[in-house]
Amino acid sequence: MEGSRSIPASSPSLSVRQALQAEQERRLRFVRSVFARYYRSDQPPPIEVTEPERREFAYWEFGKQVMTRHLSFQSVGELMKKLAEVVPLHAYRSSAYFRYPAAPMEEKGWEGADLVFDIDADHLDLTCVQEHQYRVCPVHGLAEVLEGKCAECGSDLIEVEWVCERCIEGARAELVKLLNVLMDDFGIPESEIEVGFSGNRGFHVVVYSDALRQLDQMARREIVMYLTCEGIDPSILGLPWKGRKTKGLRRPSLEDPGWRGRIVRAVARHLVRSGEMAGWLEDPDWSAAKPSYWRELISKAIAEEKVRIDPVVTQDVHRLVRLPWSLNGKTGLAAARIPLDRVEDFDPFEEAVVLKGPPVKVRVLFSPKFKLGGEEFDALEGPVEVRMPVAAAVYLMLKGLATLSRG
Amino acid sequence: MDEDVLETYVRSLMKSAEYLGKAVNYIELKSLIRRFMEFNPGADPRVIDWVGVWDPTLTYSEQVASFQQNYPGFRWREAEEITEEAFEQMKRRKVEEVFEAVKELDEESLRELLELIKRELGEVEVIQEITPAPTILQETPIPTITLEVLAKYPVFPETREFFETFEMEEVDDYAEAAKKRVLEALQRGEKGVLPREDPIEDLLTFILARVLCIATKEPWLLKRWALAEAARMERYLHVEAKELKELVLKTVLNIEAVDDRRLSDEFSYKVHLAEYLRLIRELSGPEWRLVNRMVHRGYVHLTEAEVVRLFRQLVYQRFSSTENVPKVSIKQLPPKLQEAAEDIMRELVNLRSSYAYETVVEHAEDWPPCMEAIRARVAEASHKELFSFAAFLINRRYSTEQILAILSERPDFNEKIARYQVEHIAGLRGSRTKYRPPSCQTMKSLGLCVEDGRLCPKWIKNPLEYRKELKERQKPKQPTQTPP
Repeated sequence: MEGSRSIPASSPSLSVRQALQAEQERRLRFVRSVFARYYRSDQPPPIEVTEPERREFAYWEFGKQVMTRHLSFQSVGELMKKLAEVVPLHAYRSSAYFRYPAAPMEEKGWEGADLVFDIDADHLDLTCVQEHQYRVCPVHGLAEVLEGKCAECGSDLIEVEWVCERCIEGARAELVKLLNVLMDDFGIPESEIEVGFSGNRGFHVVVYSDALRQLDQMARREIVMYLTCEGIDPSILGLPWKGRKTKGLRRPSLEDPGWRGRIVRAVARHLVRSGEMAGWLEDPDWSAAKPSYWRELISKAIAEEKVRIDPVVTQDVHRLVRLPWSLNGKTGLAAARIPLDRVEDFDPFEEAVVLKGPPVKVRVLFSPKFKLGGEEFDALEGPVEVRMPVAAAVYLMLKGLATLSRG
Repeated sequence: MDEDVLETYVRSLMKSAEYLGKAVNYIELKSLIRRFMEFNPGADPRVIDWVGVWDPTLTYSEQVASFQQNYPGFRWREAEEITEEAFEQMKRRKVEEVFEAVKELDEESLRELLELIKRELGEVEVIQEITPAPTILQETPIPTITLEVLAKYPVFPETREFFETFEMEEVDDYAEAAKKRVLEALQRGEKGVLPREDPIEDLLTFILARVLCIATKEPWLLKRWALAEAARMERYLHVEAKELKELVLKTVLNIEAVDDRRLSDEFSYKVHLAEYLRLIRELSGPEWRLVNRMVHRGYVHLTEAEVVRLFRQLVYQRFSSTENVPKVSIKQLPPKLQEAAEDIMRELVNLRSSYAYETVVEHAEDWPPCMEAIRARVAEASHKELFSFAAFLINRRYSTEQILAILSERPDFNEKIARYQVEHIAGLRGSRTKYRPPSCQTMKSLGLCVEDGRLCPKWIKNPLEYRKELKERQKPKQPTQTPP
């Protein structure tokens, strides 16, 4: 038709859209078959859930827009059977314990909930996040602009949430801070703490504590405020702060517990680093400097030491938490459990890679340099066809950076 | 407390008075606290609820009298000077009294008395030599739970044992006194029920007052009464002898002594994190926030004065709770108690109509889940919750009277203060800014959002934007949840 040529490249032609749709369906079918191999394997994933009969389970299926909720299983075996049958894109269990897990929300009979923490690299104001903000056109690859549509074909641009090693290190630093507060301040024994990789760009921590299980939303809010230092008033903790003179204050001690000690240690670190107030550490005394001097250092210390968790997750007593060792549908990586003594050196791009199968030929739209499952992949400016190990192929496909090759 | 610390302390009190909308005179308050410190050396002024007891309508000397009435355990005035003549007179009167009493004794008792007097006058030193003070063997005496102790602190299990020795009919004569106690609580609230002289009456009226409050099935009344009784117990406890104080605290709270050297000079007790979080539920001051506490190895560290304050919270929570309460109705009570309960109900109706609030037409179906939730727990809601709720109602064009009618369900309801606050939010006072409720984002971060907004249309950014019709229209869409 003559007229159609005059239409600007603001909307892709019907045939392009149909082709894209068909491609996406093919891609999802392929990813599902790889996921199925994982859930139906002879050596099934080591999924563990405590007290499964009192929890609600839920999952997203491939290609569905709705989460299936209010499921109940009597055992992990039953749950595994269901996972093998459904092969979900995402799978969750409730942090809460219910009398009737399968009933609708109002009738479930809440009987407590684990204390859950979520650390997400996206919420940490890391500088690298801006560096790997990509938009790709499903036809033409990397787009120049960060908004709108592809300049060439008018297709909607796909927003890519890339994760780099600096993201993981940023999240890991918060995780280590979190674990220190949980153990030192809250006195939670190691045996009650479960650490897991989220399967994408963060970590989850679940605390199984009989004493804390009954905490309501307001009590959990106090815990969030404690970790994030929201509402902290250093003068109440006996530190030099607004309206408080340094005279008559307790001498600072590096050994003090809680936030007071943590702040004093961070202040001391600053002094050592800057070389100011030499000798202060031998004879620490707040009267050695003006209150305004300390105020600035204490503000810095708090900004450094506070734990950046997602407040909403911890406060919610009805939260769904990703099943440990289930697959994350945004990456194909497993939500791996991390033993406490491995927190410092756990490598998610190595140890959460569980998908197996022969290499796959994919059409990469664009890819930054990355490492996965012990292999390094160079940056690619596509579209370009390459053969890759299945885990890497699925990773790029789910991120929206690659499509299944027709060949 | 040196001058600097006193200054800071008074300023923080002024802040909380402002927060409560109470007009407190800075100079008067400061000099009252100075007076307290002067007359009670070694006592911590923080044990006094300065702002709570302060009555802006009193003159300074009336104020002192009111504090003396509320805290009889402390000295508030210079003891009156006694002249030599008056002293002699008192002595003479005492001797006459004793003489009258001696007349009634038989011969044997008189002889015993004579022995005693001899010993008292002449052989004192000998006695001291024979029995040296057994200081080494002496252990800390375990205080006995006397009737006086039970009456002051009816938190021991012995309270029940005591009451079970009576039949309901036997105690019916205490109905009037019990009614008085309830009405006093109703009127005084946080200022606390006043001390009573006879311990049996004290203890019985405490129990009966509770029975009356439960029988009326008015949760507000039970809460208001519990508030007044808890405040009374707290006041006794602050000035109690060390051993008994510890016994009372340990009976009620799971507290332990602080053994960590780094903390023991500042704090006497520690309480488990989970219990602490339950206890501070109704406390709004920044000093109670977990983030401003010394938390170590699962325990929150507290000074003795703070533990006593938490004791009050626990007593309040325990006696205001309607869970596990025996089911009593007015009709089941013996006649005088029945009458007392009906009088109390009448008084309650009078009190409510004296507020003269408009009948509330609540269109709760138009309220978002977060506001419904605050409405449901308005009696326990925190300051922030109430602020959000009041701002929501004002913007939905509810009148001040209608809002006060809802707020009057709170046990600590004080009409003057509540009216001031509501009018402040409505922009009729102070800065003349009319406030909106916090945005959904802020509600989320305050922990006040219900189910992470899943029950609301996705597009609303402020609870005010919620309307029922709109929610209905949205219904076909499935609830969504961002996976963690």
